[in-house]
Amino acid sequence: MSESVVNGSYKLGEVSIDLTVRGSGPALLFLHPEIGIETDAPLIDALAREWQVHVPAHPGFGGSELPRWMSEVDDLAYFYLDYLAAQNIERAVVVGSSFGGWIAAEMAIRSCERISHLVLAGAAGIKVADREHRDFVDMFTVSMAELNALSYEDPMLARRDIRELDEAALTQLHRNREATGLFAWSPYMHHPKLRQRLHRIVAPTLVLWGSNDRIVSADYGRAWCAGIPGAQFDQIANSGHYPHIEQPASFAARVTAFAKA
Amino acid sequence: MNIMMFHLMPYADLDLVEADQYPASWATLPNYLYDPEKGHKLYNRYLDELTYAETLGFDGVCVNEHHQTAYGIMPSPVVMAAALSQRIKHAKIAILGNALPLRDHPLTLAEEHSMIDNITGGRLISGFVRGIGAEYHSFGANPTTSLERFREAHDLIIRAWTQPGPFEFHSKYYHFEYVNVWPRPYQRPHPPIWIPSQGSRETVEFASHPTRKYTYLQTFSPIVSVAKNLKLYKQLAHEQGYSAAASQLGWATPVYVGETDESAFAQCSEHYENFRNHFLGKMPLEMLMPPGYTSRESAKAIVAAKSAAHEKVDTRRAHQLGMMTCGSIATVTERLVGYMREIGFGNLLTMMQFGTLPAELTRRSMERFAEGVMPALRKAAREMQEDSARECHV
Repeated sequence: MSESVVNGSYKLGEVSIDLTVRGSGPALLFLHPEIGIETDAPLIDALAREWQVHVPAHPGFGGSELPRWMSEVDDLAYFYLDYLAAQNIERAVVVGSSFGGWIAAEMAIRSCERISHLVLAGAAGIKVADREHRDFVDMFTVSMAELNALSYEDPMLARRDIRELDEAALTQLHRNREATGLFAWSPYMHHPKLRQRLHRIVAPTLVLWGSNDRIVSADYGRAWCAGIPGAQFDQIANSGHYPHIEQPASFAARVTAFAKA
Repeated sequence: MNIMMFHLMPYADLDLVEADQYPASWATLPNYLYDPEKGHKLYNRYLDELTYAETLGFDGVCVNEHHQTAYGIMPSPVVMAAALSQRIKHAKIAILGNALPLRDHPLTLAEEHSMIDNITGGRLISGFVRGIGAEYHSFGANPTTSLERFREAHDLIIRAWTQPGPFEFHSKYYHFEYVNVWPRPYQRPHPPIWIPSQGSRETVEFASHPTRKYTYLQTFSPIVSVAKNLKLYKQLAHEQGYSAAASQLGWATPVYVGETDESAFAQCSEHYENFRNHFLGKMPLEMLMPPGYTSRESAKAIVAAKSAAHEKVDTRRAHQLGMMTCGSIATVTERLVGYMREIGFGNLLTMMQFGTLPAELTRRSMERFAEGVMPALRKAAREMQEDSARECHV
């Protein structure tokens, strides 16, 4: 595929979303976490050296529209399966972080026809702990300062203060929280039946975890591996819940090594 | 003029020092802090206070719904309304309100309110609210769909009360093959609907709409915002071609009447401040305002001005701002009559017990209010009515 750079909006059916496409090579779809993604994220450049990277903002997140009828993660999974078809992408590496990992897994249980490899990084979506314990820190009850402190190992990132955000960034932050609430409030950050359906994932799968994830434990990552046939587990050093933000170079290298092996 | 007594029924025996160790006074405040022996006494004391309100001449009593907090121990106001229905023989009983979107089966509310309306022979006032933000954590209810669910549940309940059953109802969130409420409400077409709110334009628009004309109640706010929202109601009514009656406007506020201004403040300050700062007070903003619960603009503004919500308010300041009213009979009368003349509300909901205010002080304040303040308010309301009737004839 030829070199291409897209920065702007993209319309699929009735839904207009923000989309960044960068780099050349085989297609890679990156599904961002609950906190969204910035279009100048170092991860995108790191991946674009080997891949044609597609980075949409999910419906309801960033600057993307939210159609009134969307309310569940399967709506997003079908949306991205349609996206791959609409873009004529025959085989894509699908990488999802946290909430985006949940969308990626919901895509893969429906169809791996267009998914060459699946990478789940700190992925939400399954229920592992017993009924009286939550797997995932309740992002809606802790203060934003505390949430940042829990999310990152890097103290610079951990101390970010939302009061320093500009107006546009603050709007996006609130849209991201609202959309996460819509899709993941209850059951919180999981679909009760997803775990029973993981056997349907036939794409080679890598489960990646930050070495110091305090939002969701590495054991939860291992539970993904137990459910997905042949899935591998690996950790990224010096990182909390979002290794693609804290260690973009090693994250990209690990994804590339896995998907090109 | 409707003068009601509103009760939150706080868990007044809360160990404030112990409770202060926890980050929130809602949703996650551990329930070991609740002692059922003390709770037993409090429930019955509060029922006695509301019963006494009828004896003293209040037109009605009001209960409401809150969950997992010492702020109010009425997770089901319907239970309290049922208990009151056997004690209160003539006054109105207002449920202000039940939180519609917290429920997957709003028809249960249509049934329960209808039962109370039948038992009391039509003395129920039915209040509809969304519940406060923290309650979406307590109930696992999705705050981002709360407004839509409120509107749908409202439509379902009103239809269930007014439209012959059985009928089908399939909305986005609620699915019923057979809506057919037994018993039907005693009042025709249905009990009066009151909408309590801290004040949002959307809520005022909803209540004032000509197809509804619901009584809008501004709760626990500085008087400027009471005046602003009730004025907005009248203005919206006017724009839609009708004139809002005083009975469509209400104000709910803490009141304490002492022998003198000095003794009133001395007696109630600590208890009012406990209400503000310990019972209502402590909540991380993220918990108070779950995503989507308020409009994005107000969420942004509140998060940006983070410190404001945590500001501690003392009683004198609260009195100055008109968030509460405290003083001698003369002071309280002058203020309430003044506000009524200025703002024109036809419903005054006095919260005569708040925070840790003990039984004796509550009763003495209620008595002074009933003897000294209530007659003056009624007289002023009559005069206002006569004046406006005269204007109409001219």
